[in-house]
Amino acid sequence: MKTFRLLRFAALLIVIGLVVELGTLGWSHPTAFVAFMFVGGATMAAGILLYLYWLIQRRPDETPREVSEP
Amino acid sequence: MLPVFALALAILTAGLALVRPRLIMSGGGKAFGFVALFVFPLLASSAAGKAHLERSKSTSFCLSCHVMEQYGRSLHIDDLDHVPAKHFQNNRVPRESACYSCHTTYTMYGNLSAKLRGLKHLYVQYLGKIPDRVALYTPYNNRECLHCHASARGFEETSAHHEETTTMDRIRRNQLSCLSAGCHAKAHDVTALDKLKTWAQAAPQAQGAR
Repeated sequence: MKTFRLLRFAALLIVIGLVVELGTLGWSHPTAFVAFMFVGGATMAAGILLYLYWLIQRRPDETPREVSEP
Repeated sequence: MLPVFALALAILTAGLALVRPRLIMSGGGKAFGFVALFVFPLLASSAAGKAHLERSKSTSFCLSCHVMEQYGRSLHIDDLDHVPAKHFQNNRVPRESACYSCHTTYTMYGNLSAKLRGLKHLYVQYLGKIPDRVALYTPYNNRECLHCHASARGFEETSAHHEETTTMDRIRRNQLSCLSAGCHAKAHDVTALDKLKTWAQAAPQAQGAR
């Protein structure tokens, strides 16, 4: 399921970005800010963009039946 | 504390989407997915970014770069003719944000321009050539001094500020710098640091702050 992989990859990027951002909060140094912005922020932004792409490109029939049906 | 909590919450919700992607593919799960993978990460990241920006105002943050070390030491010079030392040691600026208090510009976009300058400093720190001695981009503007001193009795009644009839007006118009020779010329005299005494009482607190 390609669509699953895309969604999981987006979520993975977001989680990695957020974890990096969390790690930088404990360090008061310009390097921490660089890591926050250009590593954590960029990874998270890539994940969000990928998620938005997944949202607009997916077709309704890709919804798994066991989830869509009551 | 709030940014840490927000980031932890965002990690948990995004983590749920990572391990159970089916949850966010239909029905109410779509809304949850949007919150978990878009709204929460952005909000948490904004809160963390604000915390970073606030932290960047701290004296310890400014002095954490090697090139600024001597400027930090100059705050402890035991000679109150040195303007930064006098302000730092007498709490005329908050010690925890001493650098920022004097080196931001008190204008509408002063904070923003200080942050942009900070980004430029980061670029120089990692990708550029670090100068042996740092210098201001533009001559120090009296506006930054007058932000606190204007209308203060000590400033208004000092005889030197009325030496000539136009002196005060020239100070206010930034035509006569507060840092002019013969006025308050000693600022961050880092070349003479080793010859100058250090105010002993300031040292323990400063070390603790760093």
